[in-house]
Amino acid sequence: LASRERINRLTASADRSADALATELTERFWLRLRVFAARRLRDRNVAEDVAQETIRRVLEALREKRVDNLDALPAFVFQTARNICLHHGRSAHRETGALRRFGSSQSFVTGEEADPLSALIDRNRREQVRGALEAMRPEDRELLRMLYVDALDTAEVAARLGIDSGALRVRKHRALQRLAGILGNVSGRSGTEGGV
Amino acid sequence: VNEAFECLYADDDDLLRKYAAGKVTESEAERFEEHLFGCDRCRTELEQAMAIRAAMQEPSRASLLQWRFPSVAFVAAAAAVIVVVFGLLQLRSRDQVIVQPVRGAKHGELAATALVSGGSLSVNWNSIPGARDYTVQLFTADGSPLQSMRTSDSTASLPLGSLPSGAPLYWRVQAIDENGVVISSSPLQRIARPR
Repeated sequence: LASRERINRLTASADRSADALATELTERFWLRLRVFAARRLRDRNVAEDVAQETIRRVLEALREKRVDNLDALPAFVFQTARNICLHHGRSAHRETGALRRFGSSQSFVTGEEADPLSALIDRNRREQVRGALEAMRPEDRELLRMLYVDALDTAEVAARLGIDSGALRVRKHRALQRLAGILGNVSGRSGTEGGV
Repeated sequence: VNEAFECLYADDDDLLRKYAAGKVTESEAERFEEHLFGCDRCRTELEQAMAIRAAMQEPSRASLLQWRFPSVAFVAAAAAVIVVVFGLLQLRSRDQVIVQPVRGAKHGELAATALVSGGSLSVNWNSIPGARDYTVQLFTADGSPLQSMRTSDSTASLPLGSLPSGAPLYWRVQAIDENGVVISSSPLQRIARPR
């Protein structure tokens, strides 16, 4: 909400400080845009390009007052990113067709990620979280594995552990609190977006 | 609506976790993404889910470096083992087979073999007493995880089709006990794939 208000103020201000507005937009949407693009295009580098291009276009639209209602800004950013991804998808499709016509047997996708969202988490962050996970109790670790790696339904994990869904949510909440506590003790505030 | 406290996706986070794992349909993903752009709580929880997934699928950097650049002490110990084994072999009859585990493991050595065929990596391994599951992991040369499969069987097949050809890949199998602890691991092995 604070970010939304700052964007409001910056857009409304006479000078419309470009850098400050770009910073606000980036802080608010950078992770979302990379996630959005990485899932579709399965390449973290291309996802970053899409995120940058989206921020640039949204910034342009804000400066030109093409976004009337700032409450609709998230939807505008979403739609802009979707258009860029669609365009990128069509370009990649044409490139594939051209390679096929030339009889190339080589794979045309150079950076395809098997797990595109995990690939967005940088190495330091992974190491930091992994270290914290290793310091947790095995039962907490196993619970988080079932929930986040195996991505099982809450009901299924609860059934496996012989507890009800409500009790599972409490157990998960406590495990995440312990993880956050260990991370906080180890490194203070994480340098990346968000935080466990 | 106060996003910090009220969010259906974050309160019941099954779909959010499945989204992070790539286990949702396209329409579910689109709906969630549209919501995600306006919900700060989902953004935070999604980043959390991604970080936990990435960390749990990440092999220890230290272990990879250790594997790629063994320490002097490790090389010396390995040389000593080879000398001792060679000496024992000289003393024993040729019919006897001495099985020397590569890595000591109180639950037994996990020996795995793999075959690349038809665009898949087929892996077989021996059962380890006390293991509840096994995880077959696929990595790039810099240690980034590419794929992971968990199974209670002693065989698995991982498709390689969507992965870039030509780049060296590495794999290993880990045995996991009922507490989620890795009790034995096969060494990292390289898959040589033609360009």
